[in-house]
Amino acid sequence: MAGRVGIVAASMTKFEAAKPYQHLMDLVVEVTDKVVEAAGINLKDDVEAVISCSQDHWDGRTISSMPIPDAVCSHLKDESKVAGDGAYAVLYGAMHILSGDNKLVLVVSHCEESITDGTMIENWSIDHIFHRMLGLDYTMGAAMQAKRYMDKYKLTPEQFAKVVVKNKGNARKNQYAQEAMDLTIEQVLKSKMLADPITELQKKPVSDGACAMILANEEVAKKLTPHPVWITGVGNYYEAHNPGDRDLVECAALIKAAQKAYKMAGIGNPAKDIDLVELSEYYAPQELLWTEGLGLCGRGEGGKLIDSGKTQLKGELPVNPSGGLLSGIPVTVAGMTRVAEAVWQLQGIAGEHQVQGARRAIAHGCGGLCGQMHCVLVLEKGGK
Amino acid sequence: MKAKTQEELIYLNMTMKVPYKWRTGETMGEFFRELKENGIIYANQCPTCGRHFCLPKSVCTRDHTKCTERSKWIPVGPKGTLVTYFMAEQSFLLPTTGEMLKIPFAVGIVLLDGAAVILQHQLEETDTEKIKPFMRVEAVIKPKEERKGNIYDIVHFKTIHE
Repeated sequence: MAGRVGIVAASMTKFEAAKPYQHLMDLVVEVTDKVVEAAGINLKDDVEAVISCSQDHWDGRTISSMPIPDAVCSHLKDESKVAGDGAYAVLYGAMHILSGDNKLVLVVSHCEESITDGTMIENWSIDHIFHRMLGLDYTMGAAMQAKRYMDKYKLTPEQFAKVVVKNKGNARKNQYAQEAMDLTIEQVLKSKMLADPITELQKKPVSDGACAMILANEEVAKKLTPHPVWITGVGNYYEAHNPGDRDLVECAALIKAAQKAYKMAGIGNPAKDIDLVELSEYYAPQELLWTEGLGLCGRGEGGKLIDSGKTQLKGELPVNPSGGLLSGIPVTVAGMTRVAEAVWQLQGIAGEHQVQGARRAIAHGCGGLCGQMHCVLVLEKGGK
Repeated sequence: MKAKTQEELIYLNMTMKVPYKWRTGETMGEFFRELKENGIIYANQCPTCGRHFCLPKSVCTRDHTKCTERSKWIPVGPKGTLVTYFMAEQSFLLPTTGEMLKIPFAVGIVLLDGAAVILQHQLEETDTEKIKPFMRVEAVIKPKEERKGNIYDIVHFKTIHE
């Protein structure tokens, strides 16, 4: 990368199944004010550009320009929106800095999933000519993907359930997490069946909340904090929308995104060179598949990796020490919270789920049916 | 291949209906509560620039100061001044109601007496000849038993002659 982009500070709301007393604008105000305070800057004078991140169908209107400018104070400023996962908003914010056009950028994302029926919104995002009327949603897609995973690499429902036990267990230490639970594998498998093999506890719960962060160029980041976190590698790839047009267990876009990010960051062996991973598992089987795509284990070895205990909070390579998306994070906000959690880990302020001595982390965002697009960021502290 | 006419192509007709339950939050919720329960239009105030907002804002666009201090709210209107307006001569299917709009109808931007930010709402008058910029108008509030806590608790703005 030309120059370095530093993340100065991050903020989140508490994630909840519903936030009935807050207009979505109020969520954005909350995280904006918190991140500005954490960064020690003045919102009006110091923030040059704002990248907001939201999806119109989830919000029920096509006007992010209505609540966001007031909430982020972008009156007569540079503001634009990413309609996709929050990791892309971070990427876009980094591009603003790298272009040299801005020294300091605010990125913010919000979603109140509870205001509508998420299944309908997901169905809305399915190809409208051939597949929408079949009744497909993301859970059905995840079930197809998991079936293919079980068929090709012989993973078991018990291995998927272990992800839920781990992540909702980790969430007990995370003050922002929505669903912290002490579960057994049996409880996960016996929860309501949504689409075989996906049970209710293996699906990310409905969630409301927001996330924000401050990005700056190297000079400004160093001035603002003794603990800037640097984006040292980024990869972003898409593949075909139609699940029939890709092999759902090959996650080709993720593999390419990870390889590009590692090359940029000079990472040869991610399983050894990375201290922790915050990834976007909308469904439990995806965590295992994404660990393969990220090169943290061999192909088909995602099940063995969770069995080994390495990805536990106290393991060699903690995956989702925060509790991941399974602990309850809304879409859109999802990828940005992965980055924010990784930032806090590298700044040493993650709290009870702090991974000791973390110096290098991966944050992963994804979106679309069965993970059509993936964005991988390598984050590091220190360095020259 | 011979070019086909539009009539030969196949179209798929589909209507997407998705329900939403939008939150008004503390500030807009209080505005609607006052309108519903007391029939009063309120404006809230930015403590930094002092402007009164109707419609209310939870933070000031310019100062980013919270405008939630309830004691600073003031009743505004119901009289005000029409700043500009449009007259719709063509109807369309309003997605929020599923009904065709009754034409002609006029929507004006009204600066309520005492407020600094302006409200858009329908005008009673539909004769273009009789609508003039900066004419005086007054909000017509529904009877209490018909009020529901939404913008149509104000029926429309009627022309007044002072």
